Amino acid sequence: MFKIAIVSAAGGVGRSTLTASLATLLAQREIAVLALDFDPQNLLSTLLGSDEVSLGGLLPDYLTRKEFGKSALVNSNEVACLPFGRANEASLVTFEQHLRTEPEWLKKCIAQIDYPPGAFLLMDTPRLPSPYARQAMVAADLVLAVLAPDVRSLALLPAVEAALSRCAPGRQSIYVMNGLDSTRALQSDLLARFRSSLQMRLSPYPIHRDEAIPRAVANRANLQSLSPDSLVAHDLNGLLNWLLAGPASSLDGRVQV
Amino acid sequence: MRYFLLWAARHFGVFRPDQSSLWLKRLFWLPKADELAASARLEVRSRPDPMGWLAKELGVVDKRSVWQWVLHLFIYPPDRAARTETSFWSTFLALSVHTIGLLFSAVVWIVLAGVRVLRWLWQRLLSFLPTVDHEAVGRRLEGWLEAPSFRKPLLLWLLVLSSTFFFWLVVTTPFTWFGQFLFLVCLWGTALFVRRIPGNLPALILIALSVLASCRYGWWRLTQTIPLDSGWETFLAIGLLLAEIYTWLVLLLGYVQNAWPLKRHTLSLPADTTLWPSVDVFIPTYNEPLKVVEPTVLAAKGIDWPRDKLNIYILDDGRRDEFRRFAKEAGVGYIIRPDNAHAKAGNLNHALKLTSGEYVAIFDCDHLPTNSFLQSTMGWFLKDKRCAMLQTPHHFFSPDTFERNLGTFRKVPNEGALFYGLIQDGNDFWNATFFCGSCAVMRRGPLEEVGGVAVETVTEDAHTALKLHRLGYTTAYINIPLAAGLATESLSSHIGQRIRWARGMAQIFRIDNPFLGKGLSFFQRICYSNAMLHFFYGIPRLIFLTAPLTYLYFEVHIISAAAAMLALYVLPHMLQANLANAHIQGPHRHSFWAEVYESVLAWYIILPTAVAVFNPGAGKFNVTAKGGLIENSFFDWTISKPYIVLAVLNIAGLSIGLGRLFFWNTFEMGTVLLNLSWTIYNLLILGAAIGVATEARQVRVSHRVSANLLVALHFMDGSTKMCRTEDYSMTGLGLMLDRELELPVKERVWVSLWNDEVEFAFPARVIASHGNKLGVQFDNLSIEQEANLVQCTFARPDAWSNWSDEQGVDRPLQSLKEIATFGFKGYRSLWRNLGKGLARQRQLVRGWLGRQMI
Repeated sequence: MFKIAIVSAAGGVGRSTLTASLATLLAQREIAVLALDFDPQNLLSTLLGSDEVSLGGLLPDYLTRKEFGKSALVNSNEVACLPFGRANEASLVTFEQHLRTEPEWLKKCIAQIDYPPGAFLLMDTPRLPSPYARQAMVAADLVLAVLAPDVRSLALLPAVEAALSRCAPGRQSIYVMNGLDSTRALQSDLLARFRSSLQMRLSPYPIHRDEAIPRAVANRANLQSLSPDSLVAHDLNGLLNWLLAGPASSLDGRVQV
Repeated sequence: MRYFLLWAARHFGVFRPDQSSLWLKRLFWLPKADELAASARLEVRSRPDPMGWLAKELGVVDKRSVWQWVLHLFIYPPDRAARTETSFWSTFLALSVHTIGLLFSAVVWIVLAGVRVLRWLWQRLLSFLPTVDHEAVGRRLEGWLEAPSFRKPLLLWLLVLSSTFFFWLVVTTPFTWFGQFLFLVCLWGTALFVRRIPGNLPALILIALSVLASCRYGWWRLTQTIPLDSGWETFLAIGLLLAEIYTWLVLLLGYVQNAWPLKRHTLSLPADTTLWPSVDVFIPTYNEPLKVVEPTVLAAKGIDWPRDKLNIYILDDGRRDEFRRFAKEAGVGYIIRPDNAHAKAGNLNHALKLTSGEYVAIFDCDHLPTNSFLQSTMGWFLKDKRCAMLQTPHHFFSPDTFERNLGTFRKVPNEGALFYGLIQDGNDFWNATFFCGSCAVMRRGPLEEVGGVAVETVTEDAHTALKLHRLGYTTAYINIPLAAGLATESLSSHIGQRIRWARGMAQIFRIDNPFLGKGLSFFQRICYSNAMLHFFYGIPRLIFLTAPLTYLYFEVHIISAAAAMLALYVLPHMLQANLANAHIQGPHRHSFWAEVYESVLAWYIILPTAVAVFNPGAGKFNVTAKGGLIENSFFDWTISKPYIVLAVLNIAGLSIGLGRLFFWNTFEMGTVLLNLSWTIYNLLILGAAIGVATEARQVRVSHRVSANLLVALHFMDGSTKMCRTEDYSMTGLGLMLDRELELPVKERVWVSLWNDEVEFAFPARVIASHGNKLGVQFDNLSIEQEANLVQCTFARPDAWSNWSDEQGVDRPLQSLKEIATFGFKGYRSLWRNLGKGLARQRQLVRGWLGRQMI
């Protein structure tokens, strides 16, 4: 299984949306995929088409000492999703305490999941710094840091780098720009600055801001079938192809290990 | 025989085969429908059966038994009583018919078997071809030639002498008509086989065969066919002979020049960019509008090269404020001078004095360089320290006047394709690449050493290269289009440009003849001479276009030989030359097109070349206008005058010739036919030339380049759509969508284009929307946006690399058919325009008369 943690230092850059879109695209290409919501906001299942906010999830399972991954859901696009689940303040504090004392908890839990070879695991996380993101980064083979085309993301870039070297030293990490509006000169300039500082680590496929995404979510439809010729569909395909060809190309070798 | 007769009887509708008058009748009249039906029921009884008759006469009962035949023929006494006087004749007739039939079928069988054997052999030969590893053979041959044991001068001289001897033998031995016919067949067969072998070696063999055939023809022509009786005839004959000698010489020189095209690759540069040299880019302009120059400057600015080592200068001989402002805005240098002495050459030399880059790249103001231009070219300068100049092809993304007026854009290689596709590559092998004035890089040192760009002649480019070669510098050619521009937009400006080239080359030929003077190698002299001699084709071409008329009009035999013999000698010469050239030039020049290209210009370059040879200083420089627009299609009566006169002369000759063929000269039909077919060929070529003079309307101000680029459309509501371009220009895009989409005209959109991986968005408005096609026009782009647009479109490194993929391969007969079609179209257009012109004249006269009455 190839494990990707999706992180960012700034909030609202579209981590969950990107996770959901990538997971749907993977499933559409008949690659087994599990989207793991490791964010107390518990939104991923909604983005993946669930009617209401999931009550069950990995936190309730943990609290009731059920087996990890029992409450995973599968949507009509064949995307498996493990929601975070609803929890009250107190249990969250306990859980976070547990995560702090045992940094490899998630890694161990994931190792227990019986999943077909070549499958993908996408982990959505809260914004850095957070114990959740830290757990996901420790567990991941690849860290995908999401950037927004604004000065905030640029200013927080060193923070991301620091978190990466702290939590996942030697781990492969890549950056992707999300929500780009290329008609704005400022955003294009910022993209150029990100590109010059990150070089090959920045995905050549920035994900554009596109009405097609909210429309697909609102219609509970698959983006690729609702607007296959939209720019964002093209971007996501490009990003995935780039991932499969580059960072994730040694996938089969990893599966054996 | 029986079957043949039966078949013939059926076929001709002879329903009573024994009635000889019916056979005769059927030769001229077809049967009626009901008669045909009757013939379908053709009865076996009614056809002549000599065997049956003979059997009855001899008393043979069973016709199939050979034994009975033998018995009755030789053993049994004939039954005399049964015979009559007439039966002897019928027996004789029947027997002879039978024998002839047998002989006939035997001959047919033998011929068919022969053909079958030959075909089998031919196919075996061809199937043998792919089994050979041609590259290995080529390598072994090369290794063998370069082995020290072979490189002994004595052996080489021996080889040269013996081959010269055999060559002489083949060229000068007189043959009978049959011998010459065999020579033709052998040569032709060999060439047909050889040309199927891949690699460059077969080209050399084909060249050798062609030289053999042409020299043999030349020898025979010189020694056997010059009429020496009357003065008038001899004069004309010598004229034709000189024209033929000229083409023969150019053919041979061309073979040497193009024997082994070098096909140089690009060299990569060192990874450390501090080692890269500094380059000045010169963009000379005189009167071209800013809209033409602007994209070039922006493209040059985008060339991928260290910023501090790339300086761009607009050299404005028009001294226009508009240009000064633009240069300031775009951040490029702007150089002017007090006078316009020596036009472009003077302009470049003036700028040379004011700048200091180690290298100078020169682009005509309408040649947009791709951003990989310097990275693809500079490697050779770093490797070869003596390299003074590197030329790249002049590529045109707009159709030239031939392509536009004949509709052959991107289908038939254009006039320049031969020079940039083959000749420059051929020159490169002999270290004789010419400088062509644009799309080239020069090393400053050598250029200053020869005193800058040459100013003595009007083709300063070729002359500069000649001077560099005389000093022992090398030049290089990379046959990859790395810049592209606009072709001349009208026939008159095309001719004006060619007149300048022809004049300049003739000037160099006169004042700095490559065969004289120091410093050049023998082959460099040949390459330069051929380039210059090429421009003297005016008079020879006119002679060929009128030569058959001397016979058709005045019955003057300017070639004193029997028509059949002439055909037998001239055919191998033409066939072999055609085969060799089709093999060498195929992708760059289709067969017979050279005749069209030359015929259009022939008349116009005679005077300039002649004047330049006798008085190199006379005449004035004319500037080629670019970026214009022909608003209405029209027929260029002024330019086409010489072609029309020639065509009328040839048509008259054709009609007289028909008279000669049927009434007056029936005793020498061969000669008449030969001259007639020559005239018809000339007429077709002239027709195509007239077709070129029919100027087709140009629709767009800025030329659209068809290309399939990825585009994203951003709509105002935040949604997007991916699509691809059909074409692009500096002002807009033609887009093709996957699905139908109706958009209101004038709707604002943004279009994104990609340059490598970087996206650029441009504001635009919808100007047309039909089904899944969409036209958008850019909306007030800033200079920076325009620069980005150029980078995404014209300046892409691969923008021109697959340009000629859609071109067909050269098939001589197909090519001839094409030219014939264009010829007919040319006459049709002439006829129509003649009608229109006359109607207009009549109206004018009437109007004038009307005014006079009042």
